[in-house]
Amino acid sequence: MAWDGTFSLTETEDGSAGFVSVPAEDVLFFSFDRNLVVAHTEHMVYFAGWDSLDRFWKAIQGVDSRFYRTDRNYIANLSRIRKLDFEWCRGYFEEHPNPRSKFCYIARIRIREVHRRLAFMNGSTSPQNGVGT
Amino acid sequence: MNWNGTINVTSEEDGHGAIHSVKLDDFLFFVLEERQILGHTADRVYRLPWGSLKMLANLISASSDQFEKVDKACLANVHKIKRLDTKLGIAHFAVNGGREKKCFVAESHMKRIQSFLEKLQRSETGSSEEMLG
Repeated sequence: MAWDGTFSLTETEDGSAGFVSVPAEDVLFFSFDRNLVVAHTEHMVYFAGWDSLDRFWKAIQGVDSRFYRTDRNYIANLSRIRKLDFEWCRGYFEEHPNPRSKFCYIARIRIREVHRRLAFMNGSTSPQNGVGT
Repeated sequence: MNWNGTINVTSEEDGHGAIHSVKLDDFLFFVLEERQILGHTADRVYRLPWGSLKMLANLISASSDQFEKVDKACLANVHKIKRLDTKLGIAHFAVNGGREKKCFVAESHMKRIQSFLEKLQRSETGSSEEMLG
């Protein structure tokens, strides 16, 4: 059976809250924190269960091109990134982020590639299109 | 947030461990082998993202009433058990393409599983004699 475009996640670290299905488009990014893969949506944080980000990346890599390994500890949903901070190597998920806004880190070596992919996804080669600097 | 009844798994059979969505009800049993949880359906074996059977048991018990712990390393879909060998401690599942799937049932869990199957049989056919060997 193919992937149905949702992630089966849970709200509690011990799994006692049961499964929830979160559509891929709702996930901003996955991060690896305290040996757990965690999925961040706009308002929630879920536990994904994967024992390593490498394994999860291998699983999702060829399946959904919106997701990209931006850093050793981050896999971001590029279609949700609204602003790139080249100085601090961060991707924001809103155009006017505030200090409490969620963000993912982007390895300095990959930020140009992220920028290129975002421009491509937005249907333009213009570096300013939909991406702040 | 709702759960659509599927869980994310990976399949080594497709060569690159890509993510799949499989209905929880399609699984016959989950078994912990070499620190990996493998999920057996009638015709395939998948690897689950979770590495702890306790965590998986919590997730499943909060989301479904079909699975029971039958051994320290195994959770079985009791609704899919076709025959229970109480002497050898083996649960037999539906045969698919000539390959029978089975899992061990620990002695400490046997009576509980037996009475569960009897109840199930009673509610389905009114007889429990055929299933229990």
